[in-house]
Amino acid sequence: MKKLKRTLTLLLAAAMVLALAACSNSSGGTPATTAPESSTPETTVPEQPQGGIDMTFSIFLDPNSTDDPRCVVLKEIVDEYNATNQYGNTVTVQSIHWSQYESQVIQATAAGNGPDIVNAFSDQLMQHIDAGTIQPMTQFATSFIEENPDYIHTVEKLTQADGEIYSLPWESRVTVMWYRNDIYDEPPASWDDLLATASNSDGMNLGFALGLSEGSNGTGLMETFVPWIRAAGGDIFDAEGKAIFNSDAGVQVVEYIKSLVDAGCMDSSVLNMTYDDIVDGFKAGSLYAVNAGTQRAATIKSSSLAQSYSSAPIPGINDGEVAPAFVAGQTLAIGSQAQDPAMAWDFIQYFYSVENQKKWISANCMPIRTAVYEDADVQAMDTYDEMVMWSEYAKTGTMTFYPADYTELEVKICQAVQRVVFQGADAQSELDQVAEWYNTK
Amino acid sequence: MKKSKLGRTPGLDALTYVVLIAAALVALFPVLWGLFTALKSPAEVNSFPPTLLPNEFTLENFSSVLFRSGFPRYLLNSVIVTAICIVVATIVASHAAYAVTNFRIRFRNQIMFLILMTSMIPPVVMLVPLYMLSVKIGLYDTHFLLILIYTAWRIPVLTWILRGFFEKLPKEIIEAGTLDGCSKPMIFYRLILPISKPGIVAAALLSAVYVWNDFLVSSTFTSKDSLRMLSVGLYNYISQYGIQWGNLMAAVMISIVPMVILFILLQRHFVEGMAAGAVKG
Amino acid sequence: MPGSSREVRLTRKSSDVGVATAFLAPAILMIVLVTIIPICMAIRTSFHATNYAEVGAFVGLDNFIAVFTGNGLKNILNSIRYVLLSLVVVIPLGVAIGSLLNRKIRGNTLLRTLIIIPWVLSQTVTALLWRWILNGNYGPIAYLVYGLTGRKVDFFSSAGSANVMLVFANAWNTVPVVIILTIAALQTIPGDVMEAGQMDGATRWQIYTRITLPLIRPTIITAVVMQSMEYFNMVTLIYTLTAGGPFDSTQTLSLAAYQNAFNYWHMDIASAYGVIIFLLNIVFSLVYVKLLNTNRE
Repeated sequence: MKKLKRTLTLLLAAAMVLALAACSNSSGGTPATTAPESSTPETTVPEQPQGGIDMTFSIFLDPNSTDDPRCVVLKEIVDEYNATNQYGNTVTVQSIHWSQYESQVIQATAAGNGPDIVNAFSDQLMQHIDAGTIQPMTQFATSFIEENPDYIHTVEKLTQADGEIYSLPWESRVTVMWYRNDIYDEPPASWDDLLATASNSDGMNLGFALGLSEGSNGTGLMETFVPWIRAAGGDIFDAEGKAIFNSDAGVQVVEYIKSLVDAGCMDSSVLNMTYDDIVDGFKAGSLYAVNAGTQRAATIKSSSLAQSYSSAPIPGINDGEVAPAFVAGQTLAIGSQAQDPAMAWDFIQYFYSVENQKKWISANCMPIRTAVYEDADVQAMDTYDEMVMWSEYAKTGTMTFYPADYTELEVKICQAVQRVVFQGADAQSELDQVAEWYNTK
Repeated sequence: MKKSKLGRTPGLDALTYVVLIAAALVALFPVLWGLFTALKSPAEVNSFPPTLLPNEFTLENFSSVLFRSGFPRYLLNSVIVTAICIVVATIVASHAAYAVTNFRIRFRNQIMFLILMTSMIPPVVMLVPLYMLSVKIGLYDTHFLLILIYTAWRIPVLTWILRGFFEKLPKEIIEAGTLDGCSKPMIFYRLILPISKPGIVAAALLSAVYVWNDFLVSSTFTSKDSLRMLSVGLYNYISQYGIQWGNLMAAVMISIVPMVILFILLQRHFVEGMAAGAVKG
Repeated sequence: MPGSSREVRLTRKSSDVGVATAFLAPAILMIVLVTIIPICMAIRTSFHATNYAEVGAFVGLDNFIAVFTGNGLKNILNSIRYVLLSLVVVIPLGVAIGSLLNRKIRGNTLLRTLIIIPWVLSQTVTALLWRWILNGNYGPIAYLVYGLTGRKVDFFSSAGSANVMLVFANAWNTVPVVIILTIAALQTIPGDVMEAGQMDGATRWQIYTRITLPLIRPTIITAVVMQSMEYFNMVTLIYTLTAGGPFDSTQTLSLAAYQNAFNYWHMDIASAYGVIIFLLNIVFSLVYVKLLNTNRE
């Protein structure tokens, strides 16, 4: 017993030493030979004689990580900007985990130390605007779009209800249907086709699955619900921001989802499946087809069935139609407490260069400037064809900026769909209730 | 010893083993599932039919977590915050517990009731106001704040446990001390504290596990990556790009090692300390 | 501090007052700063409207009305069911395993350590692991069951089974605490008490139920109270395992408070939930004190 104790004490001590050693390694004491990242962003900033300003840039990526290729690209771009910009500015990355991201930026701004440059995911952009974390950049953005005709978004699409542009997307992703090409020869061409071909659920496997859990705020459903309701001629909101998803189109979609269950394409196990679970199930091979964003491509292709996966546009109602794409993306905005908006813009503009877009492609991000597709290196990539297909599909939809209270609405719509599909509730009255709740708020 | 007169009981012993081994299996299955996941390659993690043991063992996940991520820093942050927190909380709580057990002060029951009551305020409710306060005072995004909150939230429970422990100590010690001319603080520091190791260990270990695993506080009050603690750092592996099960489980396995070792080292004192504290209630 | 100047009876040395105050002051100060002030702020917020982190106009009882016309009552019932079901599983299981672990058998230190390991896993990790293991489509348990029975099981799709799974995961994580308490209590029972029972010719089972259990009853009560508080305030496990579903059947008060505050930014509604939780906790603590007092008799 004594001996065991001593061994354990030693082990504990060793663990601490290891932690300390590894820590100093990653926080930049020595220019490590093994670890590519040598230090925190602050310490990589070279001396600039002109004396620009020091800006903070909050984003969900961690420049010190090498796990995710996007982190490496981010670090490269920031380091290059710091080394080369003509004003002598320095940008320091403030990495915040995405699950905490909005609340932390909002909280930091409330505390008076909001960042100069804010990365905002398109779904949450309105929340940032409402909470006052970012400021308009209409003039900068308008002239940027005019000067760069290959930028895929238009001034019109990016302008918010108050007539201002608040941010520019720097990458995009689109929700596509991933399917097993060893099970299905062709991707489903229409709703009826999906219903017929995906009713091949057997054993523990399902022919098709949507994540209907309210976990992760119902995104497992909404990224499919939105394309489908648009395919049926409806939408979630009208131009004034009033909820209109309780239209005939909405009812039609909910009833179609119910018919997927009735036909045996999916079963009640999807009730507790979130977006993550759906992708995990697809990777495991027990879900034959799922709808998930292109940003999941890398993880899907790392699994054992990598050769058997294909992607296609989400099918629309009739043969040969596709459902208008669900497009989202990361955007950059100028922080409401930016010391100098013009300097913040200088960095943002740098971030969107074609050169940097190429880097993002190498990190599996879909570009927002089509000029990169003309690049020979990009054309030589394995994923080129697939990426061009995604970009083409993305054009069928628009990036939608959802209202700040969208999260709660997503959960409520998701719960309404659950009740219709699994408890036999009436689709019209369930959707009416949620829409009325939203519109009278 | 006490069993000696009851004689051998092979039947009961067998039953005991069956039940305990079954319990150990249920307890360990998810942990082993996590451990073996951490030893699998990404291609194997989600394979179906599921396999428990990896076909090919790889240490890639562990080396990626330990050497190519911010995880070691999170580990260090957790060690620092947890260590300071248990030391401060134990010091403050033992003084308070001694004061309510050995001084015949007025409102003793009211004070104890107040302390107990505050341990029942749900943490969720206090997060928002505390956040606003901390921003106003300028403590937001500091380890000091984390330590302050954790310590304050652990004090009521610790005071309660330690009070139970102190009440069980033989009264003769204090009487002997008083006869020797010791003042009450001297009795506390010279006589009570040295013999209270089990109670203090129990209190400290309970707090350590709480602080080590807490997610709500550390995620609400820090935003800087350099201040992040383990429990929040784990979320780096749960992203929009999918859950990186291999890395996540490697990180989880590393994060439980210090607690398990601490428990093994201290378990004798721990049980003893809990015995006194909890029986008294 | 209330009454600190008159804390001592005339017979006490006056220096005691100072020492007692000094010993108590840090604890009281920290509790006031980090617990009392925030809860007062939360109570105030519950009567106001909020926009993100800003407190706006006074709205009277509107937030409470919103809670009770919404899911409030359902949440209370869910909380009570969750606490009671968890206790019914955790307490007997913990006491039983603790009692067996206290027997002098070979390897009991090892077994004790192994059985207690789940306690050091966080709620997040507990929930993630069980959600994977119990997944109906690709989880190992469902696969085993399918292989044995040919039927697909689905643990989370009905309100009943989702609650059972939630309680199960919770029990897995928290039974060790009760085990430790039980072992601790058993070790304080003097051997001669048992021997006396033995002299009377009682069987082992009779000794256990008539002597041992009554002797550790105070500890069991403490465990019941400690655990019920913890279960009542639990957020992370439920949030990660079921997110309150299906059909809100696992949405407890604390979970609703958390979702309103941090998912939907309804600080006002969240504060109202908080006050309700706080009031219910006061009721609990009154019962707690009563139970503990019977403990002393």
